[in-house]
Amino acid sequence: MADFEWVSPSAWMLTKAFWRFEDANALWVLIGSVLLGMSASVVGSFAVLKRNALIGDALAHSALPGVMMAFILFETQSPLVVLFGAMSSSLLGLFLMDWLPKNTKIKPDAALAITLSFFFALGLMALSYIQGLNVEGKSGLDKILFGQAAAMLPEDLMVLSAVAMGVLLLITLLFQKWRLITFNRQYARSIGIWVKAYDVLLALLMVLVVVIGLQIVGVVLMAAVLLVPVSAARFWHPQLAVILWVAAIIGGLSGLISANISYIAPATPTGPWMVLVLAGFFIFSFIFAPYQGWLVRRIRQASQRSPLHE
Amino acid sequence: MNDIWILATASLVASSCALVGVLLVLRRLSLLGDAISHSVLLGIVLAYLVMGERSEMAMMVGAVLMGLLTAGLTQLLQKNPHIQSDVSIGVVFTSFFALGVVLIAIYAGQIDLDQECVLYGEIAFVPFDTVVWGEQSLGPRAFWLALAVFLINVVVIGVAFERFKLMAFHPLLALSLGLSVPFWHAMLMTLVSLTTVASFDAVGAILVVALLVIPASSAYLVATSLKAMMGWALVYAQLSVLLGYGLAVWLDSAIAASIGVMAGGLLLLTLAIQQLLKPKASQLNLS
Amino acid sequence: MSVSPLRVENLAMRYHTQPVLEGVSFDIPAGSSVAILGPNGAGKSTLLKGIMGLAPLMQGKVSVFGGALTDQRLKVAYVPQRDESDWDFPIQVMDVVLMGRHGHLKFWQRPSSVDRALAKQALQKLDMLPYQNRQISQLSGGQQQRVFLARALVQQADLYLMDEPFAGVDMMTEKAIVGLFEILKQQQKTIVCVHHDLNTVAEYFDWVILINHGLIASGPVETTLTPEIIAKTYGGRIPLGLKLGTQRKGNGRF
Repeated sequence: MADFEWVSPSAWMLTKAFWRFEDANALWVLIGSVLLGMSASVVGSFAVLKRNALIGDALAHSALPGVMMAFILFETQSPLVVLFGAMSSSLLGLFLMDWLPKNTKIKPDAALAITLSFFFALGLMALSYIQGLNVEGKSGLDKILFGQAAAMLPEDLMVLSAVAMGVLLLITLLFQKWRLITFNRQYARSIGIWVKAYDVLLALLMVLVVVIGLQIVGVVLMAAVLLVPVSAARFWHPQLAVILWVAAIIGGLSGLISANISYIAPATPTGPWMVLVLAGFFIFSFIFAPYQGWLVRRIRQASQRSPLHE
Repeated sequence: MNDIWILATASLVASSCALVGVLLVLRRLSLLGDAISHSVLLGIVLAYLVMGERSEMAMMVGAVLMGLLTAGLTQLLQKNPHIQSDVSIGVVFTSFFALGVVLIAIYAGQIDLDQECVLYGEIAFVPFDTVVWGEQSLGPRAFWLALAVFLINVVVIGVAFERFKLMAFHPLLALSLGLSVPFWHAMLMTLVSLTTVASFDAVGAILVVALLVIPASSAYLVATSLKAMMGWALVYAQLSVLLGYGLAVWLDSAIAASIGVMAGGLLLLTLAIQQLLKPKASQLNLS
Repeated sequence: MSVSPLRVENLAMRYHTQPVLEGVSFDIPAGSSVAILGPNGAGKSTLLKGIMGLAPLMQGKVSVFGGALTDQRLKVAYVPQRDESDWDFPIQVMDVVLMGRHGHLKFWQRPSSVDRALAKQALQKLDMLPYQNRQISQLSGGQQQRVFLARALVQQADLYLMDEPFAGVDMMTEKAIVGLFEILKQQQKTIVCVHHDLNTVAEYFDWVILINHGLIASGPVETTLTPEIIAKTYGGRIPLGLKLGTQRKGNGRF
């Protein structure tokens, strides 16, 4: 990939081939990326509305040592082992982030940064240790840092798609309760909703999404897929239900576009591409979105000032 | 001899991070520090592309510009009522970092950077890239860069210590006393960016955060004044470097990552000791 | 009507390690409207949170209609302080009011058309029906308060606990709230409010509970709201905004 060209005829040919679905693996990558983008956007929305937007960043970084430990213990990269390892260490990270500010002087923002960087260092140390070992099947472990959708196996993608669909289904089912809790926690408790259980469930869904996202988006940039779609979607509409739909569409589209790019340039990491696509959506929404976009607000301001309306 | 150069470089880098980190943690800007340390990558990549070769000066200029741009852009975004501070940080740094990584992938042939060194740094190779003056080798390039940045940090923080103290304690009070809060904020961000670029070679873009936040937080647990906190942060930083290096030699693991792990380990140790002493302390208070 | 809607026995609470309330006991009659009074930081909101089980009790017992709150949550509606909420949250008035029905719904259920009709009625009673599709950030402070009251109303509870519903609202809203009190009292519901304005106590309420870290007094307004007890509650200082003239008017009426 030394000489990457934007308009090379081969890129165009590959895009056409991609959309004819001649390659079954590419089709799986496409489905997986879109589902991941959608589920991450929706789960991330609640974190952003709880004013805890960067929690996904810490959870993703925390997953890294778990994946490495699981490999050291079981010497395999089968998707369920990876899922198990990543989930256990993400949950540990979640616990640490929650425990530090409650029991020590350390403030929440520092707790997040500490958890993120400590677990990431642990993961990298374990990864470098594994690379010095003489074991089989260790290649590709480093792909979870920046994600490489093209290198994923249909088996991984099936697990990913199933989890993502489950997450989307559960959120659809319990949307109203989470909206209530996010808006007015004390009130939710006062009418007898078991707030703690919903909290834990949402955290679990978040960890699940982060973990299945590792191989496509990667540890380092997972945060963006969780927080950018909803932030962009808030410029489009005042109502949460619609915002979640817009966020899911943005997340899904960015998954789709980055799957396409990943097919054209299989050696480049997928995560950064997906984040750049998302950044594009964010900038577009920031300026042109019909509800709170910059342009609309300027027009509104101008019309308020004009004497016609007085 | 090589070990000494590696240790000296790591030690200087960790010291710079500790000093700046104390100010970040106190001003509750840990996450902005995280963001800047990521964005700096883009600055370095752009410096490479513009100069067409490795140039320390261009890298530092690029990094500082990118750091200030990150700080400025997040503040600008926060003016919109629909964007909270952590969202603005998250949007900006992930985009900049992603752009940096994509540029590295696209221009792989032209940039002497790869994803590996973005993550791990190249501290193990530090001794092989030396500054040569005439016939005489003056030691590794990274060491001199780290030393220069460390001295800048010491001088700036030393001269303006009282200003930084006031800002850290009570920005609104500082504002009411007529201090130029935006100027000192920008100054702090400049120091963070400079520190990051010096650390980048040694420990990689991401582990900088560990060195910025963790020793400073350990110090925050034990210190009772700003001066003492900086002192403790330096002690924690040096210990992390020494123990981390030992760990890396023992396990044959990446040096930078092992230093980060030891920094975290020392924090957990401090916490454990404090938690054990806690019940006793409250009993004393009661009696 | 023999069972007291709310009985508090020897309640003690603390905030972190700081004791906030100690030895608070009282009992209120059914169908009354009760004001909880006391200076800033006396523990009024904390008391309400303790009753609702939203903050831990160090000691003591709360009974609601003769039983534990957890067994009869549907009979109690809570109106939190307005400024404890995120008013930039992307949600419309109707959806906020419908939240009040969630206590009656199973976790997978959504509000039905019956629930919607109830919500509309509640909004109507507070003159907020025209605003049902407004984004909450576009409401005035008083209108936000009325939305919260409408939400409590659709809970169809028997006991209403409100944290400073009159704080920072306009005249229109104040009238609407008083009107709501009348409706609730006609239905034999009980209202307990944390209240700030001593001038309006006698007009809006018929029972008062005065606290300042402990219970000072609890009883009917006529006999309890005396200058001595007020002085004792507020530490001898006449609270800000209390006009002596109004107080005389209150005394004269009894």
